[in-house]
Amino acid sequence: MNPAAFLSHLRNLLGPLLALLLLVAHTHAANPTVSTRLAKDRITLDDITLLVLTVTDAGKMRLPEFNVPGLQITYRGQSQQFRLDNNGRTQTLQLTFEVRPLAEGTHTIPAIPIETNAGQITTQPLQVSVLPPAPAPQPPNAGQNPPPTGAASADPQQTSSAFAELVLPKKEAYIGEPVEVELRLHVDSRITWDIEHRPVIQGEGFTAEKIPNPQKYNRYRQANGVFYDAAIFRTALSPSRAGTLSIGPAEVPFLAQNPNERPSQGGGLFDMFFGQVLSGGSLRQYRIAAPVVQLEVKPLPVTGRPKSFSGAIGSFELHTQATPLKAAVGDPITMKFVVEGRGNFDRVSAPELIEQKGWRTYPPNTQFQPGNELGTSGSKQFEIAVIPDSPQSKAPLFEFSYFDPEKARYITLTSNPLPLQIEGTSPAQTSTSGATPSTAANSQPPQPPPATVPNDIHGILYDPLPPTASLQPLYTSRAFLLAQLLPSAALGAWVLTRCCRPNNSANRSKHLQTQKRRLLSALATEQNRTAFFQGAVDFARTHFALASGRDPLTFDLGPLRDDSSLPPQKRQALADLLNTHAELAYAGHSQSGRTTTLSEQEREKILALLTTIESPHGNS
Amino acid sequence: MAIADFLRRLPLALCCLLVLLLVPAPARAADANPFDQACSAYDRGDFPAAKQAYDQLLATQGWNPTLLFNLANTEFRSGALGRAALLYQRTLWIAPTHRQAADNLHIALERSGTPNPPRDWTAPLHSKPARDLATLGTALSLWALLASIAFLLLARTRRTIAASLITLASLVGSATCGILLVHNIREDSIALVTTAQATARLAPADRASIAAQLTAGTPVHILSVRGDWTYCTLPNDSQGWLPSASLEELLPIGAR
Repeated sequence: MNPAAFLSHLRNLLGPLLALLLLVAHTHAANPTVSTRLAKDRITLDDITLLVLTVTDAGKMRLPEFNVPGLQITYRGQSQQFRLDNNGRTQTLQLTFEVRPLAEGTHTIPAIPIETNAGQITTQPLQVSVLPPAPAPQPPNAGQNPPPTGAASADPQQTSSAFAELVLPKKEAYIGEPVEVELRLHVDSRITWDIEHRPVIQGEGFTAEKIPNPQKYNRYRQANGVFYDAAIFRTALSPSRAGTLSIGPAEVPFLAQNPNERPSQGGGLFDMFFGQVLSGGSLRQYRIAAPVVQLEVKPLPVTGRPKSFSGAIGSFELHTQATPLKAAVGDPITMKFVVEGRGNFDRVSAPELIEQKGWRTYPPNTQFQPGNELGTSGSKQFEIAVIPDSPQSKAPLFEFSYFDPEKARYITLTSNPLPLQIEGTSPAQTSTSGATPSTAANSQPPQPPPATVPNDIHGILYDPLPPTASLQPLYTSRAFLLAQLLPSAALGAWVLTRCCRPNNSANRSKHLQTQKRRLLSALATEQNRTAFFQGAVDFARTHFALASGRDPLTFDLGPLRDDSSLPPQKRQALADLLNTHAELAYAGHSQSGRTTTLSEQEREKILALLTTIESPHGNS
Repeated sequence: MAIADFLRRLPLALCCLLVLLLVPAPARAADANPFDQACSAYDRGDFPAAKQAYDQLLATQGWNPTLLFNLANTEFRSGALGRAALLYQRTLWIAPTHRQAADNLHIALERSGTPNPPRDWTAPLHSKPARDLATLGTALSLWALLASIAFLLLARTRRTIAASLITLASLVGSATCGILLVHNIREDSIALVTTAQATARLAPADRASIAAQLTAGTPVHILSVRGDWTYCTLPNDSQGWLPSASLEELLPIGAR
């Protein structure tokens, strides 16, 4: 016997021997208990499940034997645990059976009697439902792409046991358009395998999202009578240049058991539990490369590109809300836009205000809710505060543009013209207080009234620039300083006029003296009585103007009576003179009856009177 | 005959063609309004471009409340809260009733952690319109005072009571306007902290003891300047030295 054959024979003997020793070792059983459970109680016809019997403190026992119609139950092994605590030693034995359905329907696993040292214990009956076999999920091109017999493999022996493929949903795309890619690894279902780490898709001209954990499928597909399990990695590529892009190869590393070293089907107990360990390195690393696939990338068309296009590519819908629906001019209205659909949401920007007249806007608050783990679907929400500058009846219109790769054209979505009531100076009202039931149902809960100072700054001003103010202070401006010349000149001139006027009193006195002399000489020769008395009165007025400094015309009977500087006789004589002059001037005659002729006696008398008043105080 | 006529007129036609070619082409359509370009850059979120455009407009057009306000918003969005507060203050200095600037200044100071000064009736007194009004009032009342005094001294009339009342009113008016003007001019020494934080020290040295920590937008009164340090009256009425680079005066030299 060669050494290899001896070791193999010894291995086959050691398994049952050890199990027997474990059973024999525990003869001091007390209060044995048993429980059963099924790993799955609903399986398909092509699936299997495990039945686990857990026996505690059973001591020495025998393997139960039972058959269930419609089910093939095969003993697969056992495990044993010992636990020491204050209550003593506890022994737990787990027996595992493979349950393979043979027919559809509900099958009952009856109560199983187990013989132990302490007597017979019985399990609870269990039911298992067997469903028709589920169709394996078919990839989009499963029928066109059977597992290649010569798929790239690190191990030639695995050529028909595993293969990988890159699956693109389309062969043409536009620059920037997210293309969801599946990298599928198929491994023979009979092989124990697992993913070692995430693969990397090689290639240039595109960017790829981070590859999340794969989804695993048992018996994902069948080819040539072999079932294949699958691990599917999903990611999204975004082409960055036009032309034909080569995507891949993508190498998937995984660990698998070498089929040549795996235990034989239906082998002994030792093979099931120790074969892998004793075989040494039976789990090996393999790398399967998915072949390159081509993607034709086209540039976005230039014609018809809207101004509001920001690079969004896909298929989107735009939903609009506004709140409050009633407000005053100057109060903020919150416009809520939801862009949902599929596409490159990283390029989806906020809708743009079409007509800015009458509205001011603030930068939006953005929130993205991804619909899948790649972020290629979902909804992006924008909240934009708009402030009406004038009374309005409708919400401002916003537009959002994107490129639809299916329709190969740009599409512009416009927000709904929601009815609003913006009043001039009325206080803000929330939508619940005044909105119609239909609109109130669509609107958000009422917001608190706007504070005096908003949380965000007012936006920039778009109005035409007002005239620029001069920074120069007024008191340093030349115009202002020149303007001061005007009042200074006026004031100076007035002061000069007042200060530089000649000696008026002297001139006046001189003038009056001259006038007196002229009047006196005229009186000496005047023959007309009226003119004589007029000249005499003028002389008297001039005299008193000289004496008092007053205006000559202010001399009359009143001031004459008040003048105490004259003797009473002269005051009376002057009063007679004034009366006679008044009679002649206003009545045309005097009481004496003479109207025109002046006697020499009367002339002498009046001239004497006038001469005497010239003397100081008129005393002479 | 026709050919001869054509040849005779050919030189004239060539001259006309030459003149047409030499006439400068009509001016290209005017470029977009720089103000609109600046606003568009702001709307796009291209704040550096918007800031550059507004700065150029301010340099060419002088201080304009709209330009100052928009530039302040640009600085605010860029995170320069101190500069934003300074520009809002300048906007209010030119247009004291600018409600948006007052609100935004409030927000900028709140964001920078600077206490907001109370906005009472005295707030508009430190503004250019108030200064011009005070200047005009002072001048008018001084002239009225001089004229009434001259009238009292030189006029030979008995209307001294009215003249005295006018003199008294002019005296009160000129004093009031003068005080307002002096108060307004005193505020010219105000500077604002434009950096996120500034450390006021007791001496003009980096290692001197700290007098106060000031946040962006804090107003100080400049007392003197020594090298790279500025001696200021701090908000708590103490004095300290601040790095000149952390300050910017509210009014440039030409505005005083």
